[in-house]
Parts: sequence; C-alpha cells; structure tokens
Amino acid sequence: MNPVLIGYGETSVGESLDYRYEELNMWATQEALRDVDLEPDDIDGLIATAPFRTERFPLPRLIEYLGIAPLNFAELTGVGGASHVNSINRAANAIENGQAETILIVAADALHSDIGPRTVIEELSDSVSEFEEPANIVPSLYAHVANWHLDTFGTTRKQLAKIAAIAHEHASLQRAERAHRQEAKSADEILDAPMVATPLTADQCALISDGGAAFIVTTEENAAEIDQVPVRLKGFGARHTHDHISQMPSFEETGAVKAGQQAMAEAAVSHADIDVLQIYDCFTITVLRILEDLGFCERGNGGDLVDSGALRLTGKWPLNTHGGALAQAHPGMPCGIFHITEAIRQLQGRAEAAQVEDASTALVHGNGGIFSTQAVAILERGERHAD
Amino acid sequence: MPTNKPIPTPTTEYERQYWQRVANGDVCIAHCQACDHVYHPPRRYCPDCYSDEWEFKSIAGTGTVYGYTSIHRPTQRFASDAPIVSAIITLDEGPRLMGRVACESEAIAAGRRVCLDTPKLSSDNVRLTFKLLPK
Repeated sequence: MNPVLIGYGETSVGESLDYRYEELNMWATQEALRDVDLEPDDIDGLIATAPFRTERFPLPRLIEYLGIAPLNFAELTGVGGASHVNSINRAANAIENGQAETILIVAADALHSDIGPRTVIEELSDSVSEFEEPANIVPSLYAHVANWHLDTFGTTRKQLAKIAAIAHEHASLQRAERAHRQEAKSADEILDAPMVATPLTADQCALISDGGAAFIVTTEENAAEIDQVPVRLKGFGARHTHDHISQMPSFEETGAVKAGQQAMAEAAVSHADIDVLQIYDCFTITVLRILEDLGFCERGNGGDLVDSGALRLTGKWPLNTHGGALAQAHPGMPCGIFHITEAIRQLQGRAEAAQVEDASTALVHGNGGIFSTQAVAILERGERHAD
Repeated sequence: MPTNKPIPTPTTEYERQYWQRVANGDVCIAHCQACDHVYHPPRRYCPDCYSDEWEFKSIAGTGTVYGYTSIHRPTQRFASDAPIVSAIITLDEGPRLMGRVACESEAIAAGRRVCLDTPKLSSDNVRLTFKLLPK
C-alpha cells in the first residue's frame, strides 16, 4: 500500500484576497488536482480544517462546495497548528485500512480580510481560559517560555530575533504571490519592532493572513500513474499534553521530544540525514524550543545553533525555506499546511530560488495551542514512475 | 462568544460557588477528598482519580514565580493597564496558576516570592493580583 504524498496546491497569500473560506479551499484544491492531473471524482477522502469562525457543519458544506461527493472518508482536524502533520498520518492510516484511496488534505481561511487582525487577536484571547489572566493575548502565553529560556540558558533576545530574520530571508526567495511579507529584516530591526509581550516583539509573532493550501495522499499504485515525484511518509509521532500554559508539565520540554524520537526511530533516520527542517513557527520561541526538543542541539544551546548559520538556506539544516508563519503566511488553523507543501516542493525539487540542493529527507513539525499539541513527520523523496 | 466582562459567567452550581468565593476575596484551589490531590484550574472531576468528591480549599496566597512576561499589547479593554506583568506562580500548596503581579516590568523574575493582594479582589474584578515579597 505505502501511501505517498503526491501533489500540492497553494492559493496566493496576503491581506485582502477578497475570497471566502470555501472559495480559498476550492482554489487550493483546484491547484492540487491540476498539479497531478486528477479530477474531483478521483478524490474519495477529505481531511479539512474548520474556519476561524466555525459554522455548525463546516465539513458537509465544504464537501458540497468542492464537488467531491460522495466520499468514503471525511473528517475535520482540530489540534491547532499540529493538525496538518497529524493529518498526513490520519490519511496514510485510512488508505492502509482501505477506507479510501486518494485523500485530499486542505486548509484555507480568510483570516485577514474576513475577520481582521484586531478581531482575531481579541477573539483568540477570549478563547484563553478564564483561569488565566484575561488581558493575555496568545503571544504573551508563549512569552513565559521565552523568558524562561533566556534566564535559564543565557539565550539572547538577538538570537531569538535571528529566527525571524531567517524567516524573512527565506520568504524573500518566494514568488511574490506566495509570501505575505518579502522585505528582508535584520535581527536589530526585528528587535526594534513594537514590544508585544517581553521578550517577543511584533516581528517575532506570526502574521495574520488570507490563504491556504492542499495536498493529496494516495496509494503508491495510484501515484505510479502520476507524472510527479512521490513523497513517502517514513515516520510519524505525536504528543498532546495540556491546554493552559500554566499547566504545561514543565518548561523543560514539550511533547515534541517524544513525538520526534518516535518519528525519527520509525523512519530510521538520524539528525544528519535531515536535509530540510520545517518547524512550526507561530513565535520565534516556538522554533528555539522545538529545535532543542527534537535534538538538533543540546538543551539550552538553541541560541548557538541559530548563530551558527545552520538554519539558513545554505546551512546544514535549512529552516522553513518558505518563510513560515513569521513571514510567509499565517491564515490561522491552516498555517501548518504550508510547512508541508514546502517540504513536498523541496523533495520534488520544485522550490526554485529556495531549493535545497539534493533535498531527499525533510522533517515537518506542527505545534498547536500553547505548546499543547505536537506532531512530527519524516518525509522522503521517492522515485518518479510515470514518464 | 467574547466574554467582555470582568467576571466569567458561571453556568453550573460548581462554577457559581467557585467564582463567588473568589469575588469574596477567598481564592481557592480544588481538593479531591477521594485521593487528596490538589489541583487548579478547579473542575468538578479530579484529573487524577476522576472522583467528583471535590471541595474548595482556600489558598495561603503565597507562592514563587515560575514564568513571567510583561504584556505591552494586551486585549483592548485592558489597554490602559499596559504594561501588565503576568506571572505563572507555583503556589505553596503545589498547583500553578496565572495572575498579575503589581510591580514594574524590570522587577519581576523567576524565583521571586509573591503573595496575593486580596483587597484587589471584588465582585466586579476577579483578576488575581499578586505583589512581590521582599527578596
């Protein structure tokens, strides 16, 4: 069976696309189908993401809108930024179990133009539990861990800011319609941006964007008929731990430690085998924390890893080569899907100016809530069949 | 729905009792009478043994700062309070909770001892506010 990821599609991303949730999902789906020359009728399974303002039954609405009914398998995913990495595994399992053959994973939303940045921030804050300070916005919850890291390990604010600088550098390599922000920014400029919650400045927080993406998971047999490089799921791991940041078991580590170990063991790869790193980057601290949790450096040495240049396009472990949530796009829940479509793009050798030479193995990570949900997948380039 | 109110809206008797006590200046954590576990946030079922033999237990109000940040851009209705020092505090009873600390942004640090500023609690303001204890 060996399910593979085969094609992908992306909408433009930005601030005022003038598209609704369903339309953006259709746009991404259409691009993904076109990418591998499939028809809507070829899809028999769907994993989708609810819009920010969730409707009562978003899934049937989307199935009807996309014109892909009847389906054998359909579900909404709901573990925040870990959703889409999680969905790769869900789709692979459903295919292995014979529930479906060709599954569309799609996520898109009009977070910027439909809802608006201020409202998104306010409503996300209202979803923070009544047991945590009501003045909190999401960055201030992550900021606790950032200060802890600075105090405990002597990590500097500039090292944190450099993570955002790398994101901007990589986003600037994308085609204009593919990245929300493309201007280069130095670490000093990022530190000079308005303070949101110490030590996180505005440029160290995810964007709020419109847009989305889709990709297709199918059987190896089906993929053999498609003129595209198949991408294999070699290993997967997930851990879901807490909701309130005050109830995070310890700031010492997240669920990504075990999720990463499981994924890498299943894939039988070591850190040296990873060519492309796609780490969920809602905030700069998220990346720093997760790099350590995944073992790309010793605990506490994340700052040095950033300084070393290893995370730049020419480095040992190019990070978020599309620019990530900090510079490419963050349409809310769909954010993490771009980390996957970029990994597919890299492994298929289609990343243009951002292409990592001979990229054959990628690690893709998703993080949801406040370090609450963690998912890690190891993806590997396969052999193109059809000619 | 946005809860644009200083007091959360309780929907069950359990929640009414909890928030009423807090509004009266009596900040509680939950205690499970079946397994003796103390926990926060309060909830009807013990997270350890699933028993619903809960009781509220008043806290001493003292604890140690575990995490902290200074919120410069809070939600709009708290904009005039900025910067707000927010801390995750390990209570002397064990559980962690989040509250404000009434101090300058530069003064807060992990490991600082704090105590609850009970007079700041009232029926129209149940935000937990702590003050720094001398080093």
